Amino acid sequence: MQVEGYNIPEDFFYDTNNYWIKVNNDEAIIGISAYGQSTIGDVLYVDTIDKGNYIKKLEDAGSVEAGKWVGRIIVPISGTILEKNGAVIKEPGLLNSDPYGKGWILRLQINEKNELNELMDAKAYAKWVQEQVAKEQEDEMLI
Amino acid sequence: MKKTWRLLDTGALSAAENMTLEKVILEARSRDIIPDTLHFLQFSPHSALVGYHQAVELEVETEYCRAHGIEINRRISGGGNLYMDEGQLGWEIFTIKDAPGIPARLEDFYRLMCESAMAGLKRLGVKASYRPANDIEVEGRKISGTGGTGKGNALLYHGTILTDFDVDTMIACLKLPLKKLENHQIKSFKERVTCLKEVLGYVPPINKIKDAMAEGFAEVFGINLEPAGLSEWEKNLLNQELPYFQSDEWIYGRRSQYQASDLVEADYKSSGGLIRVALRLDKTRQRIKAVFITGDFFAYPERSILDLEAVLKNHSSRETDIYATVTKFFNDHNIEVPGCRSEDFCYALVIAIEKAVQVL
Repeated sequence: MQVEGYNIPEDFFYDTNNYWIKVNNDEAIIGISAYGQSTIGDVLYVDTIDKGNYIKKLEDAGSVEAGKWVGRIIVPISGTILEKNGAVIKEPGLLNSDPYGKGWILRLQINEKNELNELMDAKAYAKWVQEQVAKEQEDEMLI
Repeated sequence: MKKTWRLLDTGALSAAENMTLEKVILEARSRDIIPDTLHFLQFSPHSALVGYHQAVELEVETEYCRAHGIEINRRISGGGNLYMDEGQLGWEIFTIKDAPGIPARLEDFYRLMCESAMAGLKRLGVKASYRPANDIEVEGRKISGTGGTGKGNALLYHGTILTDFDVDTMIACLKLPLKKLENHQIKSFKERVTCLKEVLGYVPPINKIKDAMAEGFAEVFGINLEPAGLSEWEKNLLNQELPYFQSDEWIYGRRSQYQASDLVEADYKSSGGLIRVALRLDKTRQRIKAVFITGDFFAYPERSILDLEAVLKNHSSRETDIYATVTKFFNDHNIEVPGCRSEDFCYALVIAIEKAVQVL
């Protein structure tokens, strides 16, 4: 679906840090949503922890740099890193140009499936994005 | 009722101590151990700092630094290499994402932070303006660069105020896109930055600068500032973390696998004069890391070439993107360079990019 000009695939989960999670049995692929990448701007560097590491939900799994800002990659679910996307590390602009495709960041083995219940579906995330866009418009009026 | 922030002034510390403190205060803010904080910091000895993802060997003249007692360290924030001497003042804001008035979109956040620093400069009699995305300038010349990072819900945003700046040492200790340039071009580079001494004709006492900056931040954020030191929790974490921030693992170990090239230069003779482009290219990512455009042409408005350089920093190096951006920039800003068209600057840039691609 399209909300406020941002694509939100319906078969993904989302969190309020603007990560999307695509689940395939016991595995999950994680990336940053179209709305999320738009708020940080052109991505210049992506760096992640290596394959084989176990990472708990909301822990730091790497960094993304845009402009002169370094943001942390906060994984939305716990799991073991199966693969990091070498293409996006080599060409971070993929995160902007193809956020749900070639711009994915990590593939995880899901350890706590019940954590998926705490994520938003596309409909809930769309509503959340609408709220954020409204807040941004308020910010613009204040600045 | 106005919210009260901590005003923390840690005075002159080593680069490792200052870098550790940034992590410590950010961590303390993310755990809600401390209130929002305005931090003033200074560096002694003088220091060369790289951005979080940069490689020291590509950004800093390490031998020169060792020979001249310049400490090298790495920031937890993004951006490029910079030189901090004892006279410069660093400022930092620690707050949280959801605080009232903190914009969600980074570009709006940058602007708010820069405008806060500008309010302080105004109190010193300096009429500064914001240059997107992260700089503060005075009549087209940079006086403050800024950048930031986050941890959980906490944000750190910081910048520097150039007081009396030793440009020659900066050029000597950092790898900038001008090492091979001729003297008049280095002079041209110096004209791209300024400091309080140049703008005001004198350097105000450091305490006066701090007072003015604090008042500016308090005004823009609508807060009270209460002077206080580090909490015990922060002091303990500082002691624990300092050895890591002093280690080679932190300073030299982290580097992106793909980094920018060394400097390349290219000349293009247009009918309006020579256009010389010096740039560093990130070939893998197809991005211009830094660019410096000089020559014997005349541009109106005078600052337009400096603004163009800022626009092209970290810009795509694809030919079509260069043409689109440069053409739009010339049209949007009504730039006139007698004898030159926007296409001439595109040619010069593309020649330099092609040369960089061949060299790598």
